[in-house]
Amino acid sequence: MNSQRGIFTPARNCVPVPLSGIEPVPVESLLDAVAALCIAREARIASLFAMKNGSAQVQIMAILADDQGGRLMIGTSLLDADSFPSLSAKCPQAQLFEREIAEQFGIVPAGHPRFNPVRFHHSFSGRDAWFRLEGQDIQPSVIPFVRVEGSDVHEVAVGPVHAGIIEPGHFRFQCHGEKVFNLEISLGYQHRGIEKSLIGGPDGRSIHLVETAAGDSTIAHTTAYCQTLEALGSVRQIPLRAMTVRAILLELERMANHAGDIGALANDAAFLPTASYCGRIRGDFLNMTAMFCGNRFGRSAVLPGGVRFTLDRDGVEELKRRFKNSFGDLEDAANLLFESSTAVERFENCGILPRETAEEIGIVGVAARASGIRRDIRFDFPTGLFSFAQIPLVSCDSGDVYARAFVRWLEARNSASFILEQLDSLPQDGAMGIPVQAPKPDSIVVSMVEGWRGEVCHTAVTGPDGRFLRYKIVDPSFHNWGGLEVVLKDELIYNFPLCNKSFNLSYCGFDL
Amino acid sequence: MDFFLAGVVILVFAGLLSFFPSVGARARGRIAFAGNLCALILCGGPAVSQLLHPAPVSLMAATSIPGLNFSLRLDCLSAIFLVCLLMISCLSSLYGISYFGGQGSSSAPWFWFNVLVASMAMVLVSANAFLFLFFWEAMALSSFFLVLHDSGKKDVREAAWIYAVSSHFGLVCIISLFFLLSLPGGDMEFASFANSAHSRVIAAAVFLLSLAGFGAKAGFIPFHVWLPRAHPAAPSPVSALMSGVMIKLGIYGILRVLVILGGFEPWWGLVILSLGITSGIIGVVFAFSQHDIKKLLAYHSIENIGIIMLGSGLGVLGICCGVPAVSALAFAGALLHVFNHSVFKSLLFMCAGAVIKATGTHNVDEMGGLMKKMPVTGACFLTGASAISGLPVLNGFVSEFLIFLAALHGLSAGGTGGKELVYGSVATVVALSLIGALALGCFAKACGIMFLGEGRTECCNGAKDPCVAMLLPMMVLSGICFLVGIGGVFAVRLLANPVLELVEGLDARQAEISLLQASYSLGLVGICALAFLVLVIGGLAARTLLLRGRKVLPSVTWDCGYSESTARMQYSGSSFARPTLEFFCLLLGTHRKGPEISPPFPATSSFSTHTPDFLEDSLFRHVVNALSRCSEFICRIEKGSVHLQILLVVVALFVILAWSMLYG
Amino acid sequence: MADTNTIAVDVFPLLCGLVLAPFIIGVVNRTKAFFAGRNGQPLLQLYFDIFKLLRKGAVFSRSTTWVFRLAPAVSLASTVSALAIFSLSPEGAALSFPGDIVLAVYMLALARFATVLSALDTGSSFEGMGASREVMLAPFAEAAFFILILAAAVASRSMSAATMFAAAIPLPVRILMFVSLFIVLLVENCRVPADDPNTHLELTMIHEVMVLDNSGPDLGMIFYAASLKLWLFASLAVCCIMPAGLTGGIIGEMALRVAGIICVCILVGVVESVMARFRFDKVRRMLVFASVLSSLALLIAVGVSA
Repeated sequence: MNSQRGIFTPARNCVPVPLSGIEPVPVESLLDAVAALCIAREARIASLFAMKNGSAQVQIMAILADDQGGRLMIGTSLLDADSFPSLSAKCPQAQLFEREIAEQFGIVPAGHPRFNPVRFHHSFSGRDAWFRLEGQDIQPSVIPFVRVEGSDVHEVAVGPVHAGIIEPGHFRFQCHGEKVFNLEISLGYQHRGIEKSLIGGPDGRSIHLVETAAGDSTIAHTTAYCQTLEALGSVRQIPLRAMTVRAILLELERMANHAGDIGALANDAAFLPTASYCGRIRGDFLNMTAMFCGNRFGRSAVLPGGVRFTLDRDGVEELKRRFKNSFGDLEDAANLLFESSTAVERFENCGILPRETAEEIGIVGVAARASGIRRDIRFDFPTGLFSFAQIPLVSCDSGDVYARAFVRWLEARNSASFILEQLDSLPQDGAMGIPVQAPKPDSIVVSMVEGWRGEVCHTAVTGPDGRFLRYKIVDPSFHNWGGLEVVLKDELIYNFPLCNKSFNLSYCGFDL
Repeated sequence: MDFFLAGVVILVFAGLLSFFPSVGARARGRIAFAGNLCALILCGGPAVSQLLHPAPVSLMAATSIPGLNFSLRLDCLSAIFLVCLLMISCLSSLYGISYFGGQGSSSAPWFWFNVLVASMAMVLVSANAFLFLFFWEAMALSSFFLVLHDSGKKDVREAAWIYAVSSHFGLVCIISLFFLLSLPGGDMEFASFANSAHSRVIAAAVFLLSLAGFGAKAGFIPFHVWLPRAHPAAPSPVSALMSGVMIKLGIYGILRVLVILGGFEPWWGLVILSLGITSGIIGVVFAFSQHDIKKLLAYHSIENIGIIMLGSGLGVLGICCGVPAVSALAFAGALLHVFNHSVFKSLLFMCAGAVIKATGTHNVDEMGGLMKKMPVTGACFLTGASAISGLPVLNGFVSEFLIFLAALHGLSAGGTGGKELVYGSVATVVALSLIGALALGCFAKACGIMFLGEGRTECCNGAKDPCVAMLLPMMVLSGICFLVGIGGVFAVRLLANPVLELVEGLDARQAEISLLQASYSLGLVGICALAFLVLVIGGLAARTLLLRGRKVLPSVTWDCGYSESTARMQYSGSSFARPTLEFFCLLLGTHRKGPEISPPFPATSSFSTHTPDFLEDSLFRHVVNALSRCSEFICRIEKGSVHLQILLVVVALFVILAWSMLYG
Repeated sequence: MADTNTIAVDVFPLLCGLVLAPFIIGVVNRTKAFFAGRNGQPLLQLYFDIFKLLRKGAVFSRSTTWVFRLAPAVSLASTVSALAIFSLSPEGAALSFPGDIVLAVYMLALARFATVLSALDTGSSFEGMGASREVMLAPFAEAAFFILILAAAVASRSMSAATMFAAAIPLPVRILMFVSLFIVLLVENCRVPADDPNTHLELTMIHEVMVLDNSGPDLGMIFYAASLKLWLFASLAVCCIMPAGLTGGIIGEMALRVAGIICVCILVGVVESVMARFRFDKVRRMLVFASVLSSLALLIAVGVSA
């Protein structure tokens, strides 16, 4: 294994590495090493992407995360051919990344077991892996879905337009009766071209693009982006005041969404009381974010070098008062839910994601912790305030809907005490930010933040002019949609909404 | 009686005529149909006049063979079955002209068809055991040849053999029961059977033998094995005739034996009742699980035979417990269901035949959207399906209603009738409601998957309605479904006489009163049905009025905005049935094959289900195997050593000696 | 004159049902809203909805045939027919004859058949799903319902709904019948815990999903028929426990009855507010439980009447 590790350059979260320090290796050995490390569970893929380097050659970058060691590993390879041997069959967590590479740069992962487009757009490079013509319209989600043949079987096609006010995506079930044989998910309806627009940045637009990468995780994504720029701009540490505000905002985002998810899960089980209370409570938490920055989703709150807004002493008191109230309500609502035998019965043994499978397909965040994987960026790769103040890590072993709901509730509880603690010690003086220099040229930096859904991983590669050659965003949803597919195998189709809500993944964070 | 015999002779003669190879296929069909039409007029006349003015006619001609008299008797009970027979045979033969028309002229089985009809007619009027057996066997043989029509296929040959074996098993039982009946009187006339007294044991034996012997023809469980095989194998007009009428002859036989025996015991009623419940529920559950439309219909025949048995069993119980109201209503329900079932089951088989001809497949899950392509067939099938599900406005409801009413009478008779009656009534109501709801689901599946939605495979593309000669019988039968459904009150009037014949020995006055009360209810049901139709038309008219001047847009079925919807995105029949059938999984033992799905990268895989007949697999296969092992053993002894044979002779001598010493 | 009077008395409950049925849906919804800490929609919301739908145009799928267009009218007409039998006045019903209960139950089955077929007619997998679930639950609901009617028939020694519930039925039988009927009511009227009328998710619904492609006046008819069905079951439940003839006149009797129906609807709302939805296999078990209760009622009734 050490020889495999030798291929990679060690790195840390939010610490830039000069590109010259990363030795390109042949693509086969890079991918073999990735597969070997992933299969041995010594590391997992945090990000795997292609880019055009200065010489217009396509380059593959692999970022591996070793959670136990708290280390990142960066490997790279220059591609000469327009294809490379796929490693997905051995290492399923790479499959979406490989398809993404194919879609963005027209490079074919030869032997990919499920070779379909990811987001249904034309490639960045003009070369198309599916031989679609340049000006041709691409029908989203029209792909050869895996079929279960036989006249007994029926298909259920759900989406892109759904019954609730949710985002568009297409779900294809192969069913017999209520039983689901296979679920295949095809997204891409929300593709806005964020990654393509970020190439050549940073500029005035960049932060706003990142803020909207996944609207419900604005703080997490913006923080990751700012950390990238700070690392590239030689900022060792932002002021404590800004750091604390960022942490509070991140946890508030978590509280709001976890509360919303618990309510939504109750709603899908038709458990009325919790459903209706949590809807309101989520709004309360969002409004608390708005107390900081005037926007309920925390837009414009975080900026490179620090934060734009903070709260004065009165504001803090008011926030604490409101927070305690709302959290009390949340506590009641959650207790009501978890003490209701009918609701818990629906959650238990529904949509089980076994730990082994979760490891194999590289699940992150709440879903991973609910399957017993102790994986949390705040813990394994802490940055900012989390390097000093730790939140206890929560996990659960059963991997079912109940576990995912319960982990959310426990996390919300931990975040609540963290927020109250930090509000007490929120510095009232000092700078809210420090200036950030222009990004270092020819560097790569990986910035990871534990958003409420899981790991948000941004990777920036700068060219000789200090401009982004590539800015890669990986939303936790990108890792986790595969988990939902697996969970539905042999599950009953009427449990799909519950399973789906228990993951509650982002469509736009995936589609970018 | 002369007319009747003339009709039968013409029928056979027409069959013989159609045997000449020089005549074209269609012409042969027309000749056969003409024969059936003549039979309908000539034999139907006496039958209907029997129903209106009961006055049994008989004919007796002694022959030189001892015991065999050419004695015929046409009474009300025969008449009601005769009406079903002649009506269905005439319509099926009309349907058959075009059905067989497209095939080579040598292949149309008209001769056997007419022989089958003739022998059934003769069975119904035979009043001599030998005569009865003769025509019974003629019926079995001719239907055997009809099943064997497509003898090129292995399935068909297998089905025909199973059918032959089971009908001969039945024949053995029937022969033995006639033997038992003839013991006291010594002659073979039904009349003398009825007049002589039978001991309790003999009567019970006769009853059980009749259940086994005639049950093998009627196809109730456990004697049903041939049914789901023979019906799909036979051509559709033949299935219509066999399922519509021939299996009812089993019921006729049982009822005839009951009439001959006269005095019943309560446990007989309970036995019939429990056979009815078993057949009804198991039949409908198995029907629900079938892919083959004709198999589905065949299992439904078992279910409906179960309903008829429910009625008969309750009737017997009513007689034993001395409650004429229950008995009269239950028998009326059973007899009316005999008629109704022959109407809607033939209708359904004819529609199924048309669909199979048009699409070339038996598999429900390969069809779809046929209502748009075959509107008349679709409407007729829907009518038949609603009728067989016992829905109001159609005839199936009327007969089930009568049985329900009988059970309610049984309950409100309460303690006075004896506890058997209460149990029987409760069981009847619960079973009927379960059967009704399951049948509704099953026919929602058949109708919905075959005719509604969009075509699932290419085989539906070219489908279109068959010619008028095939449509006409279907439309006539659909019309009858509606007529009897609305005018149930008149049907009960017609049934009064055969029912009174069955409940002989009870207070006929009270039976008549209860029938009158029932016809009052049925009159109101009819009025209610008409009011319902008016309401429906009113609703439609209101909608038309409301929509006048507003935007009415054609569009796609809600597809969630996805651009490439396919016909696979519809429920399959098998999927539709699965949630319901999961409750009965222990009974059904459905085999599921596949799919192999291994996440995260499942490959294309396939899945299929198959529900074998549980008794065929778990019981009869073993019985047959055991029998063949036995016979092999006997063969071995027969060919074995002389010593062994001598030993056997000695043992046999000892046994005879011992027996004669003990009892002699 | 007296004759017309009797007819008026017999028809009055039916008219009450036809007019008031949409109101009780409002009662259920208001109860749920109360438990959720909201004001909730107006009590008369369903009237507004139906009125709005009746004035709208319609969209028909090209996959559908006349079956789809016929079904709403059939299901409404058959529900009204069943209601005519089950709308009981103190001395009779709008329609009453020996065995009328059988007709009523089969009329409800006809409504079901029509809805299921129209769902399959659209060729949508969602609607097929709903139809398949409906068919799965129907046998058990129908059996439970029939058994409890048998209990009433035995206890009252009568064969028509009108006389059945008016008779003196022993209290334990009445209570068992009520509980069993209430369970059947929850299932047949797509209420929690059997179905969820609020979560608009195609994959989990039963009744709502079958009418996904209906629009305009058709949908109005379907909503109306659904409210009539709830009224029918609720009024039967009231008849189960409330002995007839508490007050003198038909008006007083009917007022009492309506009050009872509103109580049943509030009970439905409370159940919906405190329970999560069951898995389908558990719904079936619940129906089997209802059948057991009905059977118990029947046993007691048989014992008492023997």
